[in-house]
Formats: sequence, C-alpha cells, structure tokens
Amino acid sequence: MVRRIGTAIFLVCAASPTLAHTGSVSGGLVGGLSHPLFGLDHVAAMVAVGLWGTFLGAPAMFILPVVFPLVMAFGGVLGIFGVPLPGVEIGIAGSAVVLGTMVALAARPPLWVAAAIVGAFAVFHGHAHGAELPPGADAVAYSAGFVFATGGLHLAGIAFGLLARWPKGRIAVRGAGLVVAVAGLAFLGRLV
Amino acid sequence: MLLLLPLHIMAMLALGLLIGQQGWRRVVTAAYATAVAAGLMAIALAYVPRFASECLLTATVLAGLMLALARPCPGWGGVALAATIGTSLAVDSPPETISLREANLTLAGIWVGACVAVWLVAALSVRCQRTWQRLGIRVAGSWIAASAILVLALRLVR
Repeated sequence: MVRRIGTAIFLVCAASPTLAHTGSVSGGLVGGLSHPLFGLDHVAAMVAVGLWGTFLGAPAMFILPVVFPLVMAFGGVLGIFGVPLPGVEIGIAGSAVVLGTMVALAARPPLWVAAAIVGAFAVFHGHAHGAELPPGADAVAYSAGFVFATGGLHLAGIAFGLLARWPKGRIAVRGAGLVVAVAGLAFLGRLV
Repeated sequence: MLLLLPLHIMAMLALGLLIGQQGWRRVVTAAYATAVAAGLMAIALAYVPRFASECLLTATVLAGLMLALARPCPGWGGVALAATIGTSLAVDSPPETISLREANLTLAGIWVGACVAVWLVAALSVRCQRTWQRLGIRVAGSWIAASAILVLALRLVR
C-alpha cells in the first residue's frame, strides 16, 4: 500500500504543470520560512512555547502549538487591516520573559490558563508578522512559510523539552527557560 | 500548475487530511471529484470565475479549523465542503493555452491530478491512527487554517 502510494506521489509530482498562474512556492515560501528565524525575540518565545508545553505534558504539549498559530493569525489579520496595537514589540519581548520564566520555574497552571497566556502573546507576534506581510502573488507561500517556521520552532522547543524526562535534562530545560527569560529582559531593555 | 500552487496544495492537503480524520472517504471523495469535473466543465464553457480564490481560501480555513478541532462532523457537511473546494479549485485553474485540444487535455490532467492528490492524502491520513499522528494532523490543520486566514485577510484588504 505504502509503495503504491509512493509511486503515485512520484508520478503526480513528475507530471508536467500547466502555466495558468504566476505564483510560485520558492520565493515566497523561503522568505516566509526565514522571516521568524531572523527575529531573536520571536525565536526565543516560540521555543519557550514548546519547552513549556513539554513541562505541562500531554495534551498541553500539542494544544499550545495548535492554539498559538490560530490566535497568531487573528493578530495577523489585525496587522493586515492596519488596526493599531500598542506595544507590539514590548509584547513580543514580554512573551519571552513570561514564557521563559514559566519554563524556568516549571510552572504548571491549568491548561486553559496556559493557553490564555500563550494566546495573548500570540496576538503580538501575529500583529508584527501581519503588518510585514508582503503584497504580491507569493503571499500564500509567504504566510504558509512563516506559520510553518513558527510551528517548527515550537517543535524544536518540544524536542528539547523532552529531555526533561531525565533529572539532568530537567535542569537543562529549566536552564534554557532561564536563558530565554534573560534574553527577553535584554530585548525589553533595548526597547525601554 | 495545480499541484505547485501553494493555495491549491493547502486546500487539497486540508481536504485530504479531513477526509481521513473524519472517516468520510467514499461519498465525500466522490462529491469532490464530481465538483472538480463540474468546475472544469464550466471553464471549458468559457465561464469566467470571480472570487474563486477567496472562496477556496474560506473553505480551506474551515477545513483547517475542523482538522484542528477534530470534532465529528456529519457526512453532508463533508460533502458541502468537498464540493466547495472542488469547484473553486477547478475554476481557479484555467489553462493558458490557445489550442482547444491542448486545453481539453490540460483540464483532464487537472482533474486527474486534483483527484489523485486528495485521494493520496486521504489514504495516508486514514492510516494515521496513533495518538501522536492524530495530534500531528490537528497541528497541521491549525497551521493550514492560520496561513489561509492571513492570506484571506490580505485579499480582502486589496
């Protein structure tokens, strides 16, 4: 079954395309994928979401990465429509401080509280992304790229957070949370 | 181009995953194939689509949200969603060729590609029964929905 599906996928991919559209996967997707990776404040906060999720365990480990992009999209819509949101950069830096502190303290609030905290900060991240979304035919690839990159950072956080199963790994993960929180304070210091 | 356009890829991926997640398969897959055929026939009859991309984006948002929520949905809901995605995907894929024969061949190729792509994803999705696999599908749904929401907003702004 798997081999047949694999062969079918190969044949579909090998088919010659018709040139009815101008959009492409390459430019927009690469731009979108790289966009969240160039903002250290974004990276720190995204990784912290994954780290915190692993401390909270299932189902939080997977619910937080589901909540974040959806709420981030809401923030993105605000940014695209030009709805002003005060203190976006402070909110992004603050997310690194709060989420990093949660990991460092190994805080285990109820799931809805964790989801609310992550969701609240996702609005700031989404607003920043939405305001910078470029016009043109590659908008789909670009937005898909940065949503997927954001998800990839969550998964990286989850992967590292799985070390918390072992005592020394737990210390390493909490230490990583502390690093994120301190970095967030540095980002805040630059803004104030 | 059908299988290379990010919007079309997202829509087909979302529908295929949803068909597998909900266990709809036959009726919904048939509705989708029929809707794609109907849309392509409309293109062959020189129908000029308006808001096809926006319609496809809205349906993709819905499919992504349904994937993320993973709540049971009745079959008629799946049929309606598959018909919407199939039709709007087809009318959003007009062939760029002058020759009638080539255009008809292209439309036939689009039908095969669109149906095979969704069928493949649905077939793989049905096999994803482990907990982490099902959670992965929900996460993928949230990513698809988020991307589609942003692009839809961008289209509405302009």
